[in-house]
Amino acid sequence: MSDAIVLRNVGYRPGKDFAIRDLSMSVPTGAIYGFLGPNGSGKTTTIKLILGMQTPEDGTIEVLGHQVPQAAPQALARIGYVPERLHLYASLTVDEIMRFHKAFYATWDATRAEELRRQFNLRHEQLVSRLSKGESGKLMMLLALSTQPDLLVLDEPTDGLDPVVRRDVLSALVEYVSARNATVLVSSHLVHEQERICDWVGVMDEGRLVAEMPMHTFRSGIKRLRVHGAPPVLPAAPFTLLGRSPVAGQEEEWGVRGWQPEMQSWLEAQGATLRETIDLDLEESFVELLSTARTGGSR
Amino acid sequence: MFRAILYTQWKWARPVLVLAAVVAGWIPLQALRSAPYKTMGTYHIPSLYSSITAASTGYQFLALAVAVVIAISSWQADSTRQHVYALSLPIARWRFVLMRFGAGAALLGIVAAAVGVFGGVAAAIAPLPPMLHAYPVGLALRFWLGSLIPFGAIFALLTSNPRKVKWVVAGVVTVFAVDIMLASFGVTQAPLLKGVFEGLYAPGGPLTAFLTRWMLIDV
Repeated sequence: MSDAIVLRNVGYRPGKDFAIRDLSMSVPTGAIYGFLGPNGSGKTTTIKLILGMQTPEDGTIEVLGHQVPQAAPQALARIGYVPERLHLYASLTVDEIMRFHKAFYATWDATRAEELRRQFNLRHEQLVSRLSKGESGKLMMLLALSTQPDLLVLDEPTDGLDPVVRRDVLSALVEYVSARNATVLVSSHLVHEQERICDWVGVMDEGRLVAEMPMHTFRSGIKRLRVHGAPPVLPAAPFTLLGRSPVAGQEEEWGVRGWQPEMQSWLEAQGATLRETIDLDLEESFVELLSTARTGGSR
Repeated sequence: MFRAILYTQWKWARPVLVLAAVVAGWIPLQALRSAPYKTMGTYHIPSLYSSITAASTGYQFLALAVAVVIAISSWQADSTRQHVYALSLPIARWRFVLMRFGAGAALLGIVAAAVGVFGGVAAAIAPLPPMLHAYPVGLALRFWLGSLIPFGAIFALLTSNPRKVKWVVAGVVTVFAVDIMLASFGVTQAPLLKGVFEGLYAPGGPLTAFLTRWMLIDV
């Protein structure tokens, strides 16, 4: 399976205080790739680089087989983009913005656009400036889906939306993706939402990609172990030790990735005893991963 | 694509265009109405000439004002949202900018057409002395080309990277400051600035249009 998006060693510094450093990531074709990270971690900047809105200082970006930003228009013709904030012309009506958008896309599906407009309860004559946050989100999703894109790039698409609107937007997205086998890159800090819809996950923090793996690996791969009597220095382990912190006496809590029950024998060989294995949900795994990344632990 | 872009700019600039068209109709009517009649129902030529000359300044101000407003309105909506929408459209940046410029130029053409039409109508209903003639088409063309100059300049400034504009402006100001100092100490004969202005306003220069009269009626 080829990759819809490939970033290799990308570096970019938008200001003095923040930089994307040596960023390499791959979004497999047909995947719903959850792009996780706390606010300010570099998700939106990375998305702007992917769309050719910013030019990287180092590295290469390839989107749907096109080099970006050099061939950004060709790539953008096959991309539906929903930014985190309303980006449309405020003084146009819903109908006018649909006609404006249509003029730039040969693949515009007028029937689908009209269906979505009805489904989202948007009126032709509504001014974009008068739309509520939920309606704005729906309109941006309508425009993105009506161009029949091969790749959808969604930057916090449901942030601030009420549960009903969020459900409408996500169901339209899932329906489209299952019908077209499109690739989706969806950025969010809402971990549970990503867990429901994504099959791949990438985690950004402080301008770095700290993890990238299939969702099932991420979901089941990070565990917390309660260990007794482990020596301070350990030889190479068959799993990834993300971090260890003392609890009481000789007892410690370890964050680990790639843990399998049979690895308990390795622990015993070090003179340690496994007291408890705690399964983490996605949000806990996410927090564990971030805290490890910030304290300089291994990926 | 161009039609879609033109439509957005038309929508943003519509009130200004309507107002400009009204003013374009008012200028020649006011000029002809204020010029006193002589005898036999024709105009007193020197008074008419002076009135039409005053109207020429009115046209120049109108062209400048409309050009400024259209240049700003062409770019305002994109600028407000940090150009995110425009940059996400599948079109090369230079083509998008060129189409925005073309649409602005086309809208200026509407006002220029109003200048020509209203000027033509006003001249047609006024009893002109035999040696004077109306030039509404020439005036409209001059109005359009004249308005394109400030429109182009402001549009270029707005579409440029603000950081680069600051550097360019700072560079130009520095060059001129040094040049004036050198000239004042007698190191050079005449300041460069003087030469630049002479070049801009010289016959065929880009700002000549604003020095010459934009006459609806002439010999």
